Amino acid sequence: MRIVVMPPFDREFFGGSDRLELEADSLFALVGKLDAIAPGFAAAAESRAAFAVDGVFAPVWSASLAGAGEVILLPRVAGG
Amino acid sequence: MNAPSDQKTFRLVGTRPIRPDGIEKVTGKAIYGPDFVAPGMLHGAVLRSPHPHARIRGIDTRRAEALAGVKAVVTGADFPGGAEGTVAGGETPTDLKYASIKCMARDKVFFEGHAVAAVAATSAAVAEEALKLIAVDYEVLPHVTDIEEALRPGGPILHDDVFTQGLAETPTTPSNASLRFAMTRGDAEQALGAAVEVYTGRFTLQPVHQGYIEPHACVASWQADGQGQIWCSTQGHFSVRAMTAGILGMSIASIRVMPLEIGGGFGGKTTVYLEPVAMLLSRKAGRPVRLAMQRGDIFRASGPAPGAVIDIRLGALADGTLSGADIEFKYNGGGLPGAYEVYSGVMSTLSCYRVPDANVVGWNVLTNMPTVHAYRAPGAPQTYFAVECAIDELARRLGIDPIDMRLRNVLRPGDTDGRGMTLGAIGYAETLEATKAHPHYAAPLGPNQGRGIACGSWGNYGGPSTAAVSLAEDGSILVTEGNPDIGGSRAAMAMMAAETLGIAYEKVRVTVADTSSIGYSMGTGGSRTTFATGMAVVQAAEAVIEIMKQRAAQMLGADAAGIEWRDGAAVLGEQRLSIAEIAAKSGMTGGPISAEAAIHPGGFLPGFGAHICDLEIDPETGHTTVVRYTALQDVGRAIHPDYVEGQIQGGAVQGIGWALNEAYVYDREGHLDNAGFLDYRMPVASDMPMIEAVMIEVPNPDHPYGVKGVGETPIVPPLAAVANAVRDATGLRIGDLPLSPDRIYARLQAAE
Repeated sequence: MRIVVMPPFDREFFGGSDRLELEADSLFALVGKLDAIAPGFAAAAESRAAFAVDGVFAPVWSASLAGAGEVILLPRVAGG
Repeated sequence: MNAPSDQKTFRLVGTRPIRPDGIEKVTGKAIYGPDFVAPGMLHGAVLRSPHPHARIRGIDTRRAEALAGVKAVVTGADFPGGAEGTVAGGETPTDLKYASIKCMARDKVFFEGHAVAAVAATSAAVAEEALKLIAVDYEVLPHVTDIEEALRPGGPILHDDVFTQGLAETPTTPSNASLRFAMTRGDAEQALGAAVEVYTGRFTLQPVHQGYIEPHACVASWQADGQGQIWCSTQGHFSVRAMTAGILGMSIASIRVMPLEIGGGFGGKTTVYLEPVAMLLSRKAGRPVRLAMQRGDIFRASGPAPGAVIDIRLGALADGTLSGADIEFKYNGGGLPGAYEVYSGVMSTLSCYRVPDANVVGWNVLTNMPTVHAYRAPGAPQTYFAVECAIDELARRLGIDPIDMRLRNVLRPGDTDGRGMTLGAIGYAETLEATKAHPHYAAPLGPNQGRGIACGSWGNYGGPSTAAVSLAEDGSILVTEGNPDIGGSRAAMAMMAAETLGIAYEKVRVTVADTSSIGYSMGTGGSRTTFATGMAVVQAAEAVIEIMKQRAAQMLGADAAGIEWRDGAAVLGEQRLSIAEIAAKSGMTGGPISAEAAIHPGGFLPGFGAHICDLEIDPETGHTTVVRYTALQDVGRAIHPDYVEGQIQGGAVQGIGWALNEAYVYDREGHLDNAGFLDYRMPVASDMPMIEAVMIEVPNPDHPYGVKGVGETPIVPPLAAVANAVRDATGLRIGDLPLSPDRIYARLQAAE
């Protein structure tokens, strides 16, 4: 499964890498694996990150990633 | 118009019933932030810095404390240390350290108006008098309010501990550039080199305020048992609770926040300025304390939208296809880090167009101004201003109709946006086609008049929401939501509940509950409430229907599986039990009937608008009059069209004000020169023609009634629509806002 890491997380946690290949059953599991690569990421993700699974915003991190091809990690955006 | 013709029709959704809160509001009985009174309440006042940048060497409050009638004085020293980390009160995190400093300065003040001390006294007059007795020893420091001055080497650095985030290399020296954020796709330079036309320009905008009429105000009561209550006007009382608890080191459950009516927010009331201060005053005084800002305080000390400097190169092929873009913008972030408009600015830039090769870079720059805060589609109007002006220029050079050029490039369902998100049932093209077909677009123009077109988009949001639906004993329905009613949510929630239940709108009453009376609901922002909280209401109503079907089955001695719910009644063959009949027997069939839904939905879709602006310029004065304005928007499905049209009209007028008149004006000493509505010129009704709002309904299939957020999109297009109309009327491309009479007159004179 391709993980697209958008700024600022690419530089902040993954040495500038914006593409990773990882397998995970859920976003919770994925965040855990990303945290193992970059300690501290999980805490940051809980307050700052949003995910899109195959192009669709995914607010529920426990949903299954079975069959997913791509997860985009992007910063949350504030509205007014 | 131009929307899908096979739409499902509803009994109530799409109608215009009378608003449920109207009588209270027009008769002055509704209780807003400054109206609330608690027994034994003290009156608070805040001492604010006269300097834009200074070190606080000491504060002597002894004379104030000795004044008769003064019950408490607090300074930054009274705030608990260690307020660190973030709270996720909204879409983005709030940094508690800076949220706390924003409420009260510690060792430095970062902008004129920064709070340095506060007093609670038996009367407002005594409190104001006490402020004069507080002696603050300032070491005045050099200040900077201009974006590019703030980046100049050797200039004043606001924070010794702020280093630019987002650089490839970790910086070792502090900087006023607190954040860099970039998104790149393809090869922008190569694409620009291959383009037939490239527009290159610089655009500047000044900070502007949300202009809500009701000031920030609250009453706080810190009880002897360590619990607290806050009554305030806010867009998100759960956020007020989380931020206040975090700043003061309290548990969240120990604070109960009661939302009062809100007299405008537009994003500006999604944070705290007064509540933690009032809580500390109350703890010291042992009585409830009211704090309220004056208008000058609001301008000087609450967060405006950021001003900006934007450099753009936008390239197009001969057929009008946008081929490449290189955009760099700098936002004026104000005095404290933590503003995230740069993220949304970068992600909003080009968000409605296919541009395969693009490089967009944004910077947040700290200056000695109040820290910026959300304002309708935060971060988007600025960059859209540059992009939509650039498209206008390219269309002129290529001889292409400006709407046709946008239609050639606009995203359609199934396309991915710049972030890689696949877009579902968006109505961008439908909106543009409706714009082109609108009679306004073909209407003749008079002398000295021009017409401008511009588009804008905003991503919208879902977010967590809780709603409860309960059945009263007579069969009427109570809906409880956790979102303040800013744009008509009481009516919208009542309509969706009534539609789902199959009953009359008048049978449903809606309450906005406090933080201890309903589950968590994210604030009313991100154009999310009708979408997300509405979905929670529908789900709770559906759950209530299921319970009522079971109760009806008991009453009829039948299997619940055979019961249908039809037109507000349980139906089994020829037998029919109304809600009132089921409610009357609820005590004998199992007890009260109610249900709650707590959700965090995805499935939200962005909004899109296209605006047509006609204006007339007086060549002798440079004065601009907007003579006709039409705003078209994909709204998904309008639950209550009056409110939706109102959002479109309000956003358009705020954007027109940003374009024509509004700006923070600082003098050389860093003092705001126009901290009041007489000098800060927002449009009033007599300045504007009727704004024609046209709803394009392309329903969102992921919402039971097709809702898309509508509140933020309409402020995005007007800046460029106005500037493009000025360009059309004068032949002058003026990239600096506001397009005030003196600026236009000077350019007209120079052109002669």
